[in-house]
Amino acid sequence: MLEVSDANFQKEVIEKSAEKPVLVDFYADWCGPCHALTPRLELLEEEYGDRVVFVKLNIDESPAKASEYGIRSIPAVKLFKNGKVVDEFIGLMHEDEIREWLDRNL
Amino acid sequence: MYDVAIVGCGPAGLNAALYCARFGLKTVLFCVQEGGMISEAAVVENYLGFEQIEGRALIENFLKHVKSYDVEIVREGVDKIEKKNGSFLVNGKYESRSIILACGSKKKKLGIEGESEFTGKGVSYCAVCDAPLYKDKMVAVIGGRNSATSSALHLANFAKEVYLVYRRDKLRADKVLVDKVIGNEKIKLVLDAVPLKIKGDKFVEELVFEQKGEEKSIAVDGIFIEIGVEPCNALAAMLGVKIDEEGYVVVDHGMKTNVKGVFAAGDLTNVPLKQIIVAAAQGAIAAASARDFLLENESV
Repeated sequence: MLEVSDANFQKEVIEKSAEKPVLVDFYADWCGPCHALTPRLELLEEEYGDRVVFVKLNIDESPAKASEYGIRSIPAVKLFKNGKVVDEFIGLMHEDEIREWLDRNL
Repeated sequence: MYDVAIVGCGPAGLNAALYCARFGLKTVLFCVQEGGMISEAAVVENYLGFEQIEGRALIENFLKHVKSYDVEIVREGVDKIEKKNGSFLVNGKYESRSIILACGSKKKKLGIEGESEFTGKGVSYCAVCDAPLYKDKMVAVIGGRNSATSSALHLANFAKEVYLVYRRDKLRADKVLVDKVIGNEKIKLVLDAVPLKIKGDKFVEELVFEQKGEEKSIAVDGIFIEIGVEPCNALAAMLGVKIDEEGYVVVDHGMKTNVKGVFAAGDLTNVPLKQIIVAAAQGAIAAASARDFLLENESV
């Protein structure tokens, strides 16, 4: 999963989501459930990589975007289409639940 | 065919895996959240041998230890276990002669107005995950036992002020924690207070509660709910394992359940003290009982 930041968010998420949906995993190193979620998203990236762009953003290092998108709980996953958030979920979810969530949104 | 399938990778499941592997049992460990509840602990101060260790670091030590043995770790949630010709079938594809359930517990919800609506928008169930997001903000922690007081102390490192809101007139946490809470000038106790609703616009703004028959409210940006846990007993119920009236799996001193070949360890069992050291010990006992069961059934 590509690591994005405040600096390249516009290019890698907003602009890219005009071509293909972009999934953003907002995480931090201190968060245990985040450590459990990211590898699961990486597995799904192999499956959905041709249809969805998977990226992650460390909210500690990129506080501006975390604040802009109202992140109050992590892990928080948001799906962007045409520059806008179309769906999101919070907390650790099973791989199957994430798959369902993705299928619903594609 | 595995000798033993362990469901859950908190301290109970991990220690069961370690002991099973050392007994030479062919072991598979189903792992969704490494460390289980420890992953939501900022620091651990009561595990013998570690005066103070970060939850994350303790989990890493546990995993490293388990991985040094021949344990197959499957990163899959388990949603089905069936009995099949004297053995068990996990998720329809992993066959095992015995099962150790170590699925732990999950946080209880408060069940008040606004709670679901504002989850992730100010309502949180994981202080360790979200505390740094409330730097210089006002927060409330709901609950008065160990998990609530620990969360309040952790939040006090970041927040401007922390209200600890509890329905009883006295905290019910370990004395060391209560003393730390009382000595922390950022933490304000709100006792005899029953939460009624959570209000806000886009995010949480207010917690409304009843105190001595009077409706009151406090302005907060975040509300952390720490009112205890409920056991994850769905798989146990599926197997016909006896569950007590509070939902905990009933085990004997050998961590045996009423179902032959099914053992249980850790927070989902009816053992009173929910602590890392207890869960780990139960995992070891369950492993030994599973080994004995397999020997008696001439499977090893």
